[in-house]
Amino acid sequence: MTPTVDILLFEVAGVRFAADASQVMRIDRPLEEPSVGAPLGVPHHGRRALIFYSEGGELRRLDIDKVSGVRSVAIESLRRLPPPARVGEVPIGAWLDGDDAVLLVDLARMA
Amino acid sequence: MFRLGELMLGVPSQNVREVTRMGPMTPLPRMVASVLGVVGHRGEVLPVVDLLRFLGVGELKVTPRARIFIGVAGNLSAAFLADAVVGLRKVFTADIWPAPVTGQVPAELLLGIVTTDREGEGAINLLNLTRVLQSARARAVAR
Repeated sequence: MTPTVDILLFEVAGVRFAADASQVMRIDRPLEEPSVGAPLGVPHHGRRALIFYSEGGELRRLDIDKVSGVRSVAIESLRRLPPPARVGEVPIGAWLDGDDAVLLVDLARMA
Repeated sequence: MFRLGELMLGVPSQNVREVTRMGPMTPLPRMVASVLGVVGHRGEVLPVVDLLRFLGVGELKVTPRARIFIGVAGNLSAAFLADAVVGLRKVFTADIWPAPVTGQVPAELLLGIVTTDREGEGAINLLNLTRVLQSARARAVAR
């Protein structure tokens, strides 16, 4: 049986991203928790926020435009980013949805 | 051989895996301008490089007619955007001239220059794809 992982799909500024669903504590309106800024681009309206723990164990929020859902995907459909496209530590890879590459981000490293 | 704006460029065929249409591209946040994003291609994620931006001589517009060629050198690979892929040419090594240091394309990224008698082709800048890919990687890491 192929191992799977649950990823949460969301959109920022019209671009689809994915994150390990287990990193997300809750989905909320952008209210109390300190924001990590806009490492994935400036949201169009930012009316939703992903709340998660930073590597330092503090609650942080990422403002986003839309949550598209949770998908259980095969680990073998996840790819590392190739060297010329690897920048910073936030996008750690991509999920291949057919020929569509959805960037996989590590929320904890954003804070 | 392929055309980028007014530039005619060539790449040794052993460095070209495939020529194909541009698929859906995912932009990368906070990336150097010459890497436009990534595409999924045959189960692989490839960076999409705009060589005009990379060479500092302009920028390409991604149109539905745009083509990409998959360039490989060692364990590095990338998709390079092209206005048009002209075709395959056989070139004698004796006809490859040293790259001029004052040319549009930095000499260190070229294997040399080839001139042809074909109308509209003129001088072809023969790219050193290994150096191009290594340089693209170094620029992304340095950012």
